[in-house]
Amino acid sequence: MRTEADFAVIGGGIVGLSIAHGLLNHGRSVICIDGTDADFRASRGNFGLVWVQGKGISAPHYAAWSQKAVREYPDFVAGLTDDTGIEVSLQQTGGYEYFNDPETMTERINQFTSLRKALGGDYPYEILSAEDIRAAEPMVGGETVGASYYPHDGHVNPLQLLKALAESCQKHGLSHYLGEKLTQVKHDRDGFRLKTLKGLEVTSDKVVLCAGLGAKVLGPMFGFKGLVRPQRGQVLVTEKLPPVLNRPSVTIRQVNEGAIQIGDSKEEVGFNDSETQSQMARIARNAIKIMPKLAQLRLVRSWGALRVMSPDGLPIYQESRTMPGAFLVTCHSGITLAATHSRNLSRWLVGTKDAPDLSDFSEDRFNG
Amino acid sequence: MRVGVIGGGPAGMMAALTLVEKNIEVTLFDEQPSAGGQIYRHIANTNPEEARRFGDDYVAGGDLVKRFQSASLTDKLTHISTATVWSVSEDREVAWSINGQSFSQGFSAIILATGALERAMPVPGWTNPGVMTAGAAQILMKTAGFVPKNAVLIGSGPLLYLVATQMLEMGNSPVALLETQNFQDYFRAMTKLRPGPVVFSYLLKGARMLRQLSRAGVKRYKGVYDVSISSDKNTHIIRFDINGSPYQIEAGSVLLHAGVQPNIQFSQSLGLAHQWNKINQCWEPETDAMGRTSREHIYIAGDGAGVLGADAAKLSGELAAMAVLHDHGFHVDAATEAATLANHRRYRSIRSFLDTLYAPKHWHNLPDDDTIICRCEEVTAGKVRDAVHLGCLGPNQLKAFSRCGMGNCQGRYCGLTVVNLIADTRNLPPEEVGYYRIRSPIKPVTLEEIANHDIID
Amino acid sequence: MADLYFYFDNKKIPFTHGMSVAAALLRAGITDFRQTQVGNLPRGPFCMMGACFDCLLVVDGMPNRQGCMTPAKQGIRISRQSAQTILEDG
Repeated sequence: MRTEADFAVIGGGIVGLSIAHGLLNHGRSVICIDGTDADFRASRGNFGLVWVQGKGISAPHYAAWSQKAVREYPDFVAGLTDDTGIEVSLQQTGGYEYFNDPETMTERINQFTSLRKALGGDYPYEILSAEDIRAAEPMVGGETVGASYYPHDGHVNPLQLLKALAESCQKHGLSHYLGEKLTQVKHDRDGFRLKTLKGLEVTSDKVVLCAGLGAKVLGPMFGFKGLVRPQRGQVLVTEKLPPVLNRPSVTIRQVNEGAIQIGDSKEEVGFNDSETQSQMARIARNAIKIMPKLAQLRLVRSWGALRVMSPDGLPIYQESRTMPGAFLVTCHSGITLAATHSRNLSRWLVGTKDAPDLSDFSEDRFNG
Repeated sequence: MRVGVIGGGPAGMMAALTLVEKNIEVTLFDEQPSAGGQIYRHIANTNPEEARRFGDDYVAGGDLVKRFQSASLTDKLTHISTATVWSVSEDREVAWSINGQSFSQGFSAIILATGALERAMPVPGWTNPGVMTAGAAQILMKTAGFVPKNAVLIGSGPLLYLVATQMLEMGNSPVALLETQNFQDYFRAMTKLRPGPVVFSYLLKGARMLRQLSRAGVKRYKGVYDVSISSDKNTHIIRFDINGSPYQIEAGSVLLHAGVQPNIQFSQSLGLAHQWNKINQCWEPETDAMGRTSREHIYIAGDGAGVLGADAAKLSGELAAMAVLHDHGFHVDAATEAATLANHRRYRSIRSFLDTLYAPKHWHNLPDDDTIICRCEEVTAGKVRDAVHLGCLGPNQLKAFSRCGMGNCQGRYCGLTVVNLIADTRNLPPEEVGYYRIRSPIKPVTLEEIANHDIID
Repeated sequence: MADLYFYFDNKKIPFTHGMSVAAALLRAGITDFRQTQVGNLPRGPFCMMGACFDCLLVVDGMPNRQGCMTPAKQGIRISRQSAQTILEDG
């Protein structure tokens, strides 16, 4: 394993590995410095959605960025499967958001109408009536009054995706250091010298900080504000069933092994990823309102995980002003953005001519 | 002031009785239809003659159960039976399910007395139908009067001999015992032997059982290793080695027993501190001598804190109850407490010897790549090793890499094997590897029950 | 007292009061209760105390029932469990 490379990527979750994947594709040498089993590791606790619907309602540039990301997904996944032989069970035939009260549904329709206008008509959503959605999804019933639909939404097995990325990167020469904690950063004209708690020393021309909630502490070491906070989401997982759901929705999806996964919550409880009876009950009640037959299914396990949230919930892409060559990458939709992080964000990091303009996502937007 | 006791075995029953004697309200949650736990299972429905076949200890348990049953007729003690507790929260809310309906109630203090499980013994073929644990055979004898035919018992530990002699008493002799402890184990164990009345009575009991088995012609193979089982319906061929020579034996049923480990599902889900028991090679909740854990108002009694057997469990139940009384402003007689503590301590004396003699073996702790180690998700040892080579550092990452530990049993039968495999592959001591993050529901429960359960004040 | 029995894949299985379904089936010589999802391998009771979840059966239409925790009752209908649960209609 090397200790000198073009890029040092701090964080080996979905964001870090997607970026490493893209950088390796550009022919760059990459080292990944990764944390421990005890770290929060949002890549292990996410819903597995490849999702556009509902994002960037008041930030069209984010909706556009997400749209681009999901359109490139099939190709990206096909490439990974070719490379590693690992099946990631991508299903991208559209997804729903269910509504059980007409006011919320109307509000959503209005939001989508505005967003479509802002995107010059390029936002191909559809609205389904109570009847339509029941015909499309036999499990739906109860209090459901309708649903919104976006054709490029879908879901993937996020753990298999992570595994495929890890294997592909290793295959293409990634030096992946595990169980590390970054303690020292030195920067000069020649680049960066990084040191970890266990004594690992790495030198690189550029650094990408994508360590999730770790950005709070590590960000300032590179001159970033590191404005991330944890937001808890809880998820219920049922026993396994034969296929009964045709498409995923933002809170209910059937995973490829057969269990039905049900979310979610948005709680500001600090660094606490415990499950709570009250939220589990609320999540179960809401799901049963949409799909009454879920009531008889057994819950096999539950979990809670911490989203990596910026102040406005949008990604942060920022090059350091005090240490040029250091980049901050953080988001809570690492799964959805995996393809674009590999293909497009890597251009921005490498500095190619066709790199995307990501100034809308800089930390500057948080200045007063 | 109301105390919740989880588990109806000797520890739970004694804890409840001790509290009730001081007029404290107790609710005891019991998964079984009648009290006794696993060790005294079904004793309330067994006549004395039948009970004697399971030994004097079982018969003595009957008295405790009777006492408990009388106490549960008073309004101080509520015995909730056939209840599956699926959550105990940090603020001491217990959620349980009976017949498809769930309830929850808060308590001033919780005593966890959920006992122990048999350690998994992952050998090739251990998932075949007809292969069970020695404890399973014991339950079949106690609750159904049924003895698995032409059984071969494999493993080590007092329960192996106890079950074998119980089978003899029931009129269906096992074919053979394949004992995994070897000469070095005996030697090491002898250095741990401390004289005393508990030790003496234990060794006497053991000698009696071995004599019974020998007189009945039950063959004993010692120093057995590298066991594998091939099965065709109800015929099993067991292959094993002794001293480098291969052996083979045929059986009608196979009973595995690699010792007993504390059931840590609740203690882990509560985030209690645990320590690694190096001899017994398992995680145990950290407790003080009275059963206090790292969380206030939560206590542990019985084998769930560390496997010491039923008699020690009874004392431990009393001690935990005394700790509850202490911590909630009630008087506890210092002499009684000191005497109970001293009695409890005596059980450690024999345990050190037994645990060393019957310590689990690396060849089933670290199985071959092809052996299934996660029964629920059908994950092999090889897949676990591969995951570690791919960068998986611990049991929770392993879940993500392989689904190992995500199934119905939530790690009960693969957790320790996984700890050992990761530790061995990463060249670390097991205690540094950690354990699965255990979450509610501790047993599966319907979404309907999660959504709507009656909250009892 | 008349002999008690329940049905297992339409076959009559005798039992005495207090037995679990799993115990009665084992007594009748039946050791395989279900097929696993991934490898389609046969499984039966292992721990008999509700901890291993290997003895899963369909009991009166309800799948994923632990046989060792289900008391045998007169006339109930039990069948082997195939790889996955089927949702009940209605």
